[in-house]
Amino acid sequence: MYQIIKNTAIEALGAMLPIVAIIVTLHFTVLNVESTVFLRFLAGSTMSVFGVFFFLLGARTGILPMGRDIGAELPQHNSIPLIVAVGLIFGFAVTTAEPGVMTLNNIATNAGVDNGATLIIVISAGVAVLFTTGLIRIIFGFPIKYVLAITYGIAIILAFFTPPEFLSIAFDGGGVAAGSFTVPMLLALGMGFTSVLGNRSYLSDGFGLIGLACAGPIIGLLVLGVFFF
Amino acid sequence: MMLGIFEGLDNVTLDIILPIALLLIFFLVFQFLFLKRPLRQVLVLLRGLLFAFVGLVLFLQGINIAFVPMGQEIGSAFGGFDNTWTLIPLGFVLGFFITLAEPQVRVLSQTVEEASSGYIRSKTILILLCLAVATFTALAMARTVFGIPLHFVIIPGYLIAVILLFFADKDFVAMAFDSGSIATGPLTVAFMVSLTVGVSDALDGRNMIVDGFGLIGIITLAPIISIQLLSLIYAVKTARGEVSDDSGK
Repeated sequence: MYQIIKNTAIEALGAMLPIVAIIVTLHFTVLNVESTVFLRFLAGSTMSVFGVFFFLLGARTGILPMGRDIGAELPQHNSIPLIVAVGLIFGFAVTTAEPGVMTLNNIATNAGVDNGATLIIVISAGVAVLFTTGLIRIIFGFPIKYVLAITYGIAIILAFFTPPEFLSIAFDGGGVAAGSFTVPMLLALGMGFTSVLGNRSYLSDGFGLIGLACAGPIIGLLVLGVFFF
Repeated sequence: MMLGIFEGLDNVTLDIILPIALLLIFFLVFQFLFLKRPLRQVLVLLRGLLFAFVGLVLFLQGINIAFVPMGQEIGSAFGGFDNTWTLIPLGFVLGFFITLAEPQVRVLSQTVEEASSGYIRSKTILILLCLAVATFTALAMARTVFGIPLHFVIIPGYLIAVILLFFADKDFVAMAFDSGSIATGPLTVAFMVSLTVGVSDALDGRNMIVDGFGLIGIITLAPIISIQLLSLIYAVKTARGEVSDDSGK
């Protein structure tokens, strides 16, 4: 437990310090940001670093082991509908709680994209669908290369028809979907899943699960852009 | 508080209750139907969820009062400069150091070294990844500054990524796509996207949404393309190595 706390603290600080250092340097050299804004920045940075720390600590000590257990439980029922149902719900639930996704939604809202929770819902649904596809791919052993080529190929084709304001947010959505929470969670479930599949190993079969899941939000948001706007 | 650091905290809390509740319900249903773990383990899970909840509230509140306004402030200041191109080297520096500090990048470098049976050193991969992300961040900044349509960057970029799929080694391919978002942690997203949004707000004739967003999508390409390329170089070198071995026989 002590080790986890220590590692998580180092990680939270490590992810934080370079950006803070660069911003502080910029403040003192090139720009003089108003002092209240700067003080708020320092207070907010401290808050965020504690936030990342508690969040990751909670994820690692409590939520991750549960994800692994669920993953290991899944194939034992020999039921594709169960895998699909759990993959969809798990993928969706985990992505809605990803800090990166919430952050993108916040910035979009600040910038005047009045979307309510549409962005979060589409990103999460996209992850859910392609994560489940990835799990099923593992069962049937379909080569990851072709699955990736097909999904990203679809994204490229859709990109030609999407209005510019959707294109930018769609590809950003793919990037934020794989964050500090979703990646370990989806991997935990994937690892549990492959560990009981007998002749499958996580190393050779589980790789690609995240990359595939990231295509989900991209395609989801592009579809939204092509067909609804 | 004078600084208003708790402003909007109630909204942030409300936003987070829903996803956490969703996770909780999902786990509990699974627990009662299948897992049936002892109570102690369930309590550990609940404690984890509570920590995650507190962490998310602190994190997002911090982002809202610190990184988003600061990013926009710096962005509009740079956008107001005569030499807006200075953003491009700034992007390069930001991209480089953020990647260097990201713990996940070290794990990835190690994995690539192992996948190449030690042939490609993890230090080489680390520097390569940092340079790749730095270059792509600079590219993303250049796009915002010059108002280049994202289509011109995203479509060729992902096309290259997909074409490389057919030539690169299977293990490297999966690894490359998995690590696409390795350099875009939530803090990076908050600061950098706010920055480009600020820049496009300050520049004439730019649209905040069209030109401000898209940065993350571009940076995501950096590890995807560079790791696949690395695998090609590795493949060529191994092939050459085999040739020279055969000639030696």
